[in-house]
Amino acid sequence: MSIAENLAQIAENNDIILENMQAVYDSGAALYTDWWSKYQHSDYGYEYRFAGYGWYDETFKPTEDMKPPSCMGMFYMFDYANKGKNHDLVSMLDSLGITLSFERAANMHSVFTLARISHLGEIRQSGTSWYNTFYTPYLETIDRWVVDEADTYSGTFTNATALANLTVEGEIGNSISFVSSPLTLESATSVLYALKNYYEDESNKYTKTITFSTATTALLEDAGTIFEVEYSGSTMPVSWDTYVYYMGWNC
Amino acid sequence: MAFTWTNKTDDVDIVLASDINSIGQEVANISSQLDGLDSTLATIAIKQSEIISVQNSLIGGESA
Repeated sequence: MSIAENLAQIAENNDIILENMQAVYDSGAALYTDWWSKYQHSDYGYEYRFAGYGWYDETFKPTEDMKPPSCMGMFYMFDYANKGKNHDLVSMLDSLGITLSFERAANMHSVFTLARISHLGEIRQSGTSWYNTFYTPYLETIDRWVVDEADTYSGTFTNATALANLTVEGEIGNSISFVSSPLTLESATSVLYALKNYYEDESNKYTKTITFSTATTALLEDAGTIFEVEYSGSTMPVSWDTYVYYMGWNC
Repeated sequence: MAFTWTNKTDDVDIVLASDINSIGQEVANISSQLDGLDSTLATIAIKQSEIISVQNSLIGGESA
């Protein structure tokens, strides 16, 4: 072809290329959405769905709200290889514009075990087993932990050596340990006020134990008589361990 | 000294012949460059076709 013909062909091709660009983008976006949709609707629910080294803020990009029917190990070892920071699950979900709710989940086994996640928002479940749920040294804050008196706690906060901030809602009805966690006084108070009152329940009275770390215990002891119990029709200020006693618990 | 037309004509002929030779070389250079440009443009057009083909495969349409 002549130079003029080649130039004309180039101009024509250029128009086609420019026209195709949006369609190429749309096609890629559709593939991306389709992949995430399939990934989020697995036969296995969300079990181990974001587990392992390959998941961190730049790869964790779900596109739909998550309400897993099963979620064992969902964030197990999330970014354990460490991409340079611990992750804030609240911020990640906010930036994606999606929500995560565990209300439908069968249990909460190992959901955040060894996950490199420092901040969790509302974690709500009822009638569940919290086996090893928060077994991670990177977790610092749980904004709102909503529990039920029937829930059980085995290894729930084992190895949660950075957990300081925790607000509990609902009732704690079974033995629970924060022996590894440097809970603040406010957090420990939240835990104590969530204890189910077994004082009048002879079959359960003094069968349950609440355990705090040495650091948190020192904070509670330093705080003095900041708790209140009803005794003979009046309110009486008591220390934390007396409060535990009056709730029918061991510590 | 007597003026000699023949000598001057010869001088002009020599200068013209030299200029014409230079122009010929320039034309040859330009022609060569135009051939190169034509080849380059053809290559660009081919590469564009390849891009369109890839785009179409990504879109799911037919190859160009």
